[in-house]
Amino acid sequence: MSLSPTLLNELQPLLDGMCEERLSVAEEAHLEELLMASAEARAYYVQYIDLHGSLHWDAALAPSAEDDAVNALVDATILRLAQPQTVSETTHGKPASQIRQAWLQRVCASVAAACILGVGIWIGNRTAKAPQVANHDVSKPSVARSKTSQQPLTGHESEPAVRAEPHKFTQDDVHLAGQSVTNPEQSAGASGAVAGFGSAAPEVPPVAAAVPPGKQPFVPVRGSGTIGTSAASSATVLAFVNDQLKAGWTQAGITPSARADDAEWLRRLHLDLVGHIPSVREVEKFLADRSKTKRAIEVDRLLDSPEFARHFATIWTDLLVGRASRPEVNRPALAKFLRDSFQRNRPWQETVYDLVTAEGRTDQNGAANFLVAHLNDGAIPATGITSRLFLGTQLQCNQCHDHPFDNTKQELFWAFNSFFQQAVVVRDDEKYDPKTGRMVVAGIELATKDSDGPVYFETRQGLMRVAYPEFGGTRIDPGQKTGRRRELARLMTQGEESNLAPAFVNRIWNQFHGRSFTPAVDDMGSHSPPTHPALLDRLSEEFVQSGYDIKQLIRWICNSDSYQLTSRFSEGNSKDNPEAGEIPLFSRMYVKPMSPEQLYDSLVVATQGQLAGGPTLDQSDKTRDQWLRQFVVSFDTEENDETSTLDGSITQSLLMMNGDLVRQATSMQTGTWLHKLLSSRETETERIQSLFQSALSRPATPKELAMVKKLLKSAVSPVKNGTPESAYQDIYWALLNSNEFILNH
Amino acid sequence: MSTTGNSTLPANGPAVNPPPSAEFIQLFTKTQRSIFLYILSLVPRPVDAEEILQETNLIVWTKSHQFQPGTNFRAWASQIAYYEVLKYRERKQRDKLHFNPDLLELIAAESLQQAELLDRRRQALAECLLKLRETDRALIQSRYRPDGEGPGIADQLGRPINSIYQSLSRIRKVLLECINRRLAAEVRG
Repeated sequence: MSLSPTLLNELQPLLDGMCEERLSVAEEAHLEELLMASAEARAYYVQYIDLHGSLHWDAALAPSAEDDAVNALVDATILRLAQPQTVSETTHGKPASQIRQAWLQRVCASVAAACILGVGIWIGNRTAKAPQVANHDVSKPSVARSKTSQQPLTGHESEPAVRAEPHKFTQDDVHLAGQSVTNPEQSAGASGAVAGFGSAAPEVPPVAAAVPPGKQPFVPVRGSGTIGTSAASSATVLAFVNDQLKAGWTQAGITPSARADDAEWLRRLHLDLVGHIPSVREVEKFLADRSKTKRAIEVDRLLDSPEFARHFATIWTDLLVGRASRPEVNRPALAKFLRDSFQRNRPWQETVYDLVTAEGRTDQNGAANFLVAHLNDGAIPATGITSRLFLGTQLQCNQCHDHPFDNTKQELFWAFNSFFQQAVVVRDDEKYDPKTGRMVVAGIELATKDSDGPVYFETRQGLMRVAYPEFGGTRIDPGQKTGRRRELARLMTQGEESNLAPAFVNRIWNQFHGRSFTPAVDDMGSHSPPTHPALLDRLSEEFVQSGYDIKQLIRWICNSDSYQLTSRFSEGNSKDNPEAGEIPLFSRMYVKPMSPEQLYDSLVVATQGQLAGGPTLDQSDKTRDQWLRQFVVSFDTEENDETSTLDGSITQSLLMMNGDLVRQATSMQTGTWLHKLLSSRETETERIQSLFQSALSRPATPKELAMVKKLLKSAVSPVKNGTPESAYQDIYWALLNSNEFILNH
Repeated sequence: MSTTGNSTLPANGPAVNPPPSAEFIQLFTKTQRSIFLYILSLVPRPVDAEEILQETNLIVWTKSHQFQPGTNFRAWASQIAYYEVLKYRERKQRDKLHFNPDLLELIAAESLQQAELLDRRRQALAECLLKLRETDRALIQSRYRPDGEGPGIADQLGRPINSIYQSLSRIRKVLLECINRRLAAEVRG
């Protein structure tokens, strides 16, 4: 058989899919195509299906010697001839293998009928064997015992390989896996495999100054619940942050970019904190303010606004359940839960605790939607995402193998996975509503089932192993009474090995600075040392000390020196360019692409969409989600991946240039912002300034002003057949499609 | 348990044809498995294949008098099975997609051509199964026993369904390779 490896690779998954009867129609067609095209493929197919069928045949026929079984079959066939009626009844709608078994049991009864048909002599020779067949326990099939080779080759054949009764897991089972188990108490202290779950001290020389000698080791403790850090200590933290950044710049021999002007900074702050550009009025007010502390005051003002909670709820809804719409996930309920958490500035670890332990209906407890979205495929997605989002640790690779760089083991994934094994999604069936007389879907519920024991997984070598719930070196009682998710949430939010605080700090820093301390925001660990370890450690520590006070953390970041800088390069920091693969030094603000939500909301603000009967920002969540959904493609993979075409690519550009949203934004219909602007008694210069302020949150420069004026003049010339209206439309369209608009800088 | 040996025909039996000969019965029993596997190669679902096997057996039995001793029983029965497959496909037209008629013919030919090789492979399989690791064998057993399907096993073992499918695929490949090795060794003597 000379099947090319390429063809084999294509064929094999299709054949396996066929054996498990889960081929899609398209796959079946593909298989057909391959088989039609290649004789080698057909030969291989026949051999593979023969193997599959043999396994089926033997197992379904149970451990009897083949002859006896076939004898029984013969008897049955005879019986069927004698009583066609009865047998065809049994055949109908029942797997034939079951029927074959039933026949086996009826051998004795059928013997008489068989005789009647005149095969008595032959049957007579066999009757001595017939009772054996009949008594044989067919519920314990054993492929291994065929007549040709009853001598076991290995020494472990004395027990039936398949246990007929449901398997009850005990620790004894672990020996099967070729792995010894220590009891939970013993293993609690020995945490060999949890690197990556702590903030590891990197061996690679970091950018910034090393941790000062007197520094306390970072030990997260559960916050007292009271939020708030005194002004004095807050200033100390800020000074430390700035010192660390400065040390990094000095060490690299660069000078940071200039301070961003107020307009640039205000636009950035609004995009980062409330998710859209500032309104013209806000820009004017801020630029007119002469106070020295106006930036810090603006940070506080926005943090207290409901729009901050809305924006952060949007970000975390996307992170937690993705943007794609999934029928079982109640996005509004989750968004509401998050909005409430951010609005009240609940300690982060409390929110995480709620998300991990949530129970109940998805419409009543919004937090339940997080796990409902990820419990598919044996909670594999839930395992990966919980670790990735909250702990900044990539475990999903460990699903199938030990980590190639980090020293985390495959077992770590499954130990983490087993925390989710009690969680189930219950779909309440339609129920009769006596009030309305209609059937209503009762809802989807995240519930907990009693289950205990380990999860099973297979190593790359095909070795079966087990994993018990274990986190950060602490193994919990795998019994039924343990609420595993509660234990996990407790360990994540209080455990000394938890990376909860550093992961959050790293993520928030990334959100505001465009880069995190690690190359990937959610891939921390010993293989990926942070650029500013002392800074990350200190912020994490202070975050914990503050009682996981999210707004305080944001204040530190937004008031830091690096956040005040412009996004333009200076002469002295051209090498601080992470885009080119350099490690980030935060000597300038890195340009961030707008998220689709930021873009949508910014367009609403820029065009004052509500004037034209569009939704206000508060009402726009639903329309925005509908608009977004057309760009999001989700993959039902083990990581529940999805992708968006709104990613700063050409697709996005085309969509912006030609899409409804921008068309509406530049519409001249009565009532639109542009219409209003042009109907006003403002001068040409004032109108142009309004266009710039509205789209770019800054006045036009003298050069720009001159250029636009020239454009306007030439557009209305008789030759071009333009109108003043269309010229303004074109200019606004150009501004909304400029890089300056679609980027957060 | 009745004693037998009585070969008289019943008064009300369907005694139109003479009873099959002992030789016929022996051939019939011997070839059950290969006829089943032949059918399975044409209708890849075991449930369907078993149903067709029963239909085929019925025909084989009623036509037993047409079989000429000394000729190839398996080829004769396979022919009947092929027609039963066609009949079955006609009945189940609206069910899932089936192989197109051309491919059906090609595969039928391939199966018959490989018939003897497949017999040897089946013998090798029995030994290869014994060489499997115990855990692998247990998994194969739970998969192939009646009603043994991926999701059920996944539940029982508390493993994700995909990992079960992966394992089954791997084990089947191990078996296939083992069979290939054994046959190669046979050829070398």
